[in-house]
Amino acid sequence: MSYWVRKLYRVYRMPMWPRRTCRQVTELVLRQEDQALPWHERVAVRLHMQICAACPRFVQQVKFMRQAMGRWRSYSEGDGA
Amino acid sequence: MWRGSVGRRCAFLTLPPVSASPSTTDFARQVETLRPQLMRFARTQLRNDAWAEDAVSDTLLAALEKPQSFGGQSQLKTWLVGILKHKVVDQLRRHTREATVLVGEDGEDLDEQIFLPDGHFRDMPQDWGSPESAFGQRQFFEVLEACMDHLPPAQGRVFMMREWLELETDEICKELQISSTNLWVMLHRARLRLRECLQLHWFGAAGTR
Repeated sequence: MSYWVRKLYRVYRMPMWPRRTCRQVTELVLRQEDQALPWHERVAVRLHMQICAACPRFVQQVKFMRQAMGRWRSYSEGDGA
Repeated sequence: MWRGSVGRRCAFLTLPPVSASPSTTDFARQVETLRPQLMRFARTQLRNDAWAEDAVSDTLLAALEKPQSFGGQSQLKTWLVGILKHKVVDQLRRHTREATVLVGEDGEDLDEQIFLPDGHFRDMPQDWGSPESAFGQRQFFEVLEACMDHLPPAQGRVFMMREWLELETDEICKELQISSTNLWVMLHRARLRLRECLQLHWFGAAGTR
């Protein structure tokens, strides 16, 4: 899988394709919390993750927050607080 | 709806009028002890004490009118929170105009603080580690709640609608009569803010502990 991702990335790196910055990718990642992205955006995010060290961390943080909100709902509405 | 107006007229009463058979007064007392907790939920969601008061009064009134609909198979609090969510949506619907006004809110662009002009992160996002260790701690949820309360009001409202009322985004747009672009922007900012706040007040503090 990773092989094909890398291969795709080489195509994607050709100057005719617009490249996403971290700022744009984080926006897409946050939007993904509420809405399914179109396939080309998903590919762009996926490819960016291969070359970026910061964005995968950001994705982890977003995932953490999602889980935290889920736990908070059951914690606060149940016997807690 | 007549029930809404009755709820508001009764808002200043500590106990809504109920017939005085022993079981119902007992039920009423139990319900009444949960009022402060319901108020806290309503306030977090609505960001307005008067609206929160109305929503909670409506909830208690509805609960006392129909105690038989509480089957007893779930916890009383869970049942009441379920009713409260509906009443909160009613309040939001009633105050749509004021609920979405961004009074000079969020003039600063959070994106500018996080990213360089070329779109790279200014600071490397920190590794937050395993969620389980944080979720075991009561303080974590206190920090999380404080962070949610510190979101700017309009952002906080839409964020809570999404995360607590668990509404779909198109429902939120419909209830508040805002465009989806507007909603995306608000949710985006709310999430970035929450992240910053957790980083600063939980992970930042945990690093030095």
